[in-house]
Amino acid sequence: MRQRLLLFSLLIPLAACVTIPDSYAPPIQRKPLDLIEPSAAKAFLRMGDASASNHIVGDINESIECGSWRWTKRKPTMRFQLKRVANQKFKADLSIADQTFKETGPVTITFTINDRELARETYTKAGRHPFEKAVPAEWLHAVGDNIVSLEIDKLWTAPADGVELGFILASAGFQE
Amino acid sequence: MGQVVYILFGALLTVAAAFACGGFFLAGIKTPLYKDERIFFSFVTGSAFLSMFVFALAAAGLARKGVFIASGLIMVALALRKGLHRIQGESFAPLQKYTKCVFFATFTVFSALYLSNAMAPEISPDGTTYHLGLVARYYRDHGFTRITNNMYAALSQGMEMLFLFAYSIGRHSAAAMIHYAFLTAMPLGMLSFGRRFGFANAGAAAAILFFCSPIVGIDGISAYNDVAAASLLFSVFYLLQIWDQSREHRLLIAVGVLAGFAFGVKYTAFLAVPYALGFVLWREKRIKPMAIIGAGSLLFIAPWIVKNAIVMNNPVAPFFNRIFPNPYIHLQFEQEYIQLMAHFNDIAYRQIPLEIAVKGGALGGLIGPIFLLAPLALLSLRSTHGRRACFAFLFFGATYFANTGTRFLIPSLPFLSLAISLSFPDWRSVALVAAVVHAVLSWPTTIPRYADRHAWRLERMVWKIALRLRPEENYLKDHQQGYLIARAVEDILPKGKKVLVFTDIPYAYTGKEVIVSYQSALGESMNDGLYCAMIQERGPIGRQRFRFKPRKLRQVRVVQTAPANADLWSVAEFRVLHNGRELPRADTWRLRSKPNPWEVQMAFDNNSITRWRSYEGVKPGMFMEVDFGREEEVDEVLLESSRDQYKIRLRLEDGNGGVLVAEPEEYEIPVPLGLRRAAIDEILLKGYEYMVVWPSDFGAQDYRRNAEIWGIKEIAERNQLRLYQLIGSRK
Repeated sequence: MRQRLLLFSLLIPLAACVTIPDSYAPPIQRKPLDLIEPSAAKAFLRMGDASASNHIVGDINESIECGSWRWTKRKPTMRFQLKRVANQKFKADLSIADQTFKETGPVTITFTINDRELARETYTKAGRHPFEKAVPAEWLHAVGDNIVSLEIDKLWTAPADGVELGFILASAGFQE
Repeated sequence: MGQVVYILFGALLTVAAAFACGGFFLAGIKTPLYKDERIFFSFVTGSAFLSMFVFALAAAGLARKGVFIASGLIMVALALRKGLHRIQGESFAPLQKYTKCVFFATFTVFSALYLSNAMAPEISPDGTTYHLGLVARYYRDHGFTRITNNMYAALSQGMEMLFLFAYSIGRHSAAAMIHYAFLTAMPLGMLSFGRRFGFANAGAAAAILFFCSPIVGIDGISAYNDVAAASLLFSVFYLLQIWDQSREHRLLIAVGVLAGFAFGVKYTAFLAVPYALGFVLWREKRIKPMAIIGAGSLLFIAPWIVKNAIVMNNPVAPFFNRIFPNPYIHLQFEQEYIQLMAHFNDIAYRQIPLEIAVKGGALGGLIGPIFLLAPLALLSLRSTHGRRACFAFLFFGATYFANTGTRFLIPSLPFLSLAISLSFPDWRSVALVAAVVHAVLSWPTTIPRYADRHAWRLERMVWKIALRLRPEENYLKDHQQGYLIARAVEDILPKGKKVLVFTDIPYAYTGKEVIVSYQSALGESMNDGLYCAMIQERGPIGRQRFRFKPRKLRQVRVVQTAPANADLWSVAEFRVLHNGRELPRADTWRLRSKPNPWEVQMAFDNNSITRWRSYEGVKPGMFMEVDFGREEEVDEVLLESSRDQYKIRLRLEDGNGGVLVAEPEEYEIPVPLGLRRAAIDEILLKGYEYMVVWPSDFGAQDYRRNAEIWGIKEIAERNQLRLYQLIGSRK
């Protein structure tokens, strides 16, 4: 009787050793990610938009200031999707803050679209500086992302916490 | 009022059936017990048998109201026919008058407080979620169904079996009243213990200390199991003391049953078994008494571990997943869960005494300030029973540090109460005075004068709602933030729909299947997809490219070589290429990974939002492998992965362990679009079409603001909880 009990108690843990396969065939293949979602990425972005995170690739702060603008770092980069590539103008509503300008002096911003330099602007005073320039159609993609970056040559470093800031960006993107 | 009748009938029939089962059992083993003891032990041992009976019904798919009522009535009828209602045995010597007055006055007043709250609608956090949520599901399904996506379904559920019996008739409140029955049985058992061994006053004082403790009160009136576990541990202790006196081996059958049932009620009460075995070995140094206890307990333990072995591939799920690896619980979750419970709310050990005795806010309740006198228990070491009570407190309390919530002290609290009471052998009335002071300090209107306002406790008598003279709905929505959304889930969703939640909702109040994201591997995988879509660091932006001269290979294997560290290794997609073109994934391919072999397909589904993860800290030798089933011309392996794995090092090998590439080229790409939608599509593929989001859940604002991007639609909002329908890419 004792032996039977012992055997039974030994068998219980073994019940856990149910065979589970250790190799698998490839599963059903999912369709590729939708690269064009009507509401996911647009041609033009306001920094306060709820979908901004879908356009921001890097170097733009996550927090929105006053519900409408964000601080950038050295090379704010965004992506945009276009239905048409002809007759597009790239526009950006950017500002150089008084406080940063006092320390950096004049700054130069290089505008790049899909790795091609669109413009290089030097700003010699603080304040708002709307930018607008036509973009050659052959630079743009009708399918997939158009990557835009605005690289500033000098950063301002906050004395309190060492945070580095570039300029203020309220909106950017393409308009016909 | 009809509802009250059902509640009372459900509870009373369950308790009566338990008494009947226990009566038969005790009559069968012919135990030498006093009358009062026989009542107490009939209930606790009968509960064990009734619980097993319900387990058998649930396993057979017969968990139906009619079956429970019929079987309950038959049990009671048979017991009456056998005359078990005429309690056998001698009576104890009468109590001293003042002891009787103090004990029964306190017992009556607190019983009334507890009864009203037990009968009121169930509002406890765990009672309205997994304790009764699972009971409700078993009732709907007429028994056990294979549940692998809720870790709590893998815990032993001996108490839930009793709940199921009562629930089938009187729903939630009837179930809670079964726990209340254990609560009221305990002081009577503790008093009997004192009377048998010649310290009735100390027994009465100990009973009051335990019974009036605020945490014992609120736990015991809720559909929980801690007080029941305490009752069973105390019963084992009590019977062993009787056995030690009489050496009647038949008592050990009851000890075995109760020790096994203690495990069946709560895993941590498994200590009843080694305690009982150790006790009889110490006292008699023979195998036979141990064999009796072992056999008895095994009968009540085995069903739970066999069930888990079959359903979860782990007899002691959801724990020990390293020893019993399985696809249902991630090892990392188990480790984090254990860590989290052991440091409940990050309260330091030195803060625990004051927190659990007086404040109660951070550890989920208080045992009462009188327990600050616990060091006095050392004085009880002068007596045999004092020493044994102290040892039992330390032994059964050993598991407390696995979960430092106050209620996890309940199973060992009877022994501390007893030891404190026994520390006053020469001034026994002092122990009773202390107990009365404790009762006054534990009364709901007194507690706010010293305790934290957030302490989990009873607030008042609630007879009007207990008797349903006020609408149940109003009480529930006032006391349970998630109640209304649970009702919305029930009312709005079509039958059979499943809901994903990230924070528990009281799903005992809905008939829809609810999965809580962190409670299973499946839930964690769905949640991971959502996080990957929202957090750049987790998104599939990393690339590890292994390029080599074209070769014919049958296998390729990526091996992790970095020293062991806490990072998790993950692969979103594992692509094999030749001449820049990906090899189509053929049915002949065999995919393997170590660890977590069960989720390897997630790296081969062409969906970069799903990722295979190691779900344990990386170690050298972890690998992911493809066997093509034949030789293929290959010159590149490309891994798509996330950035949140800084300390991994990878190497590419052929099937024979030869190194193809010692280190990959690494680069990043911009976050792909469409990840949010893909995450929702994946959840839909797993059969979940709705989700409930609390305002405090991660991503709550993102879901609301970017609903269109996610492909979700808000269909209800209750108390700031939002119910979304998942639409994904479906047109």
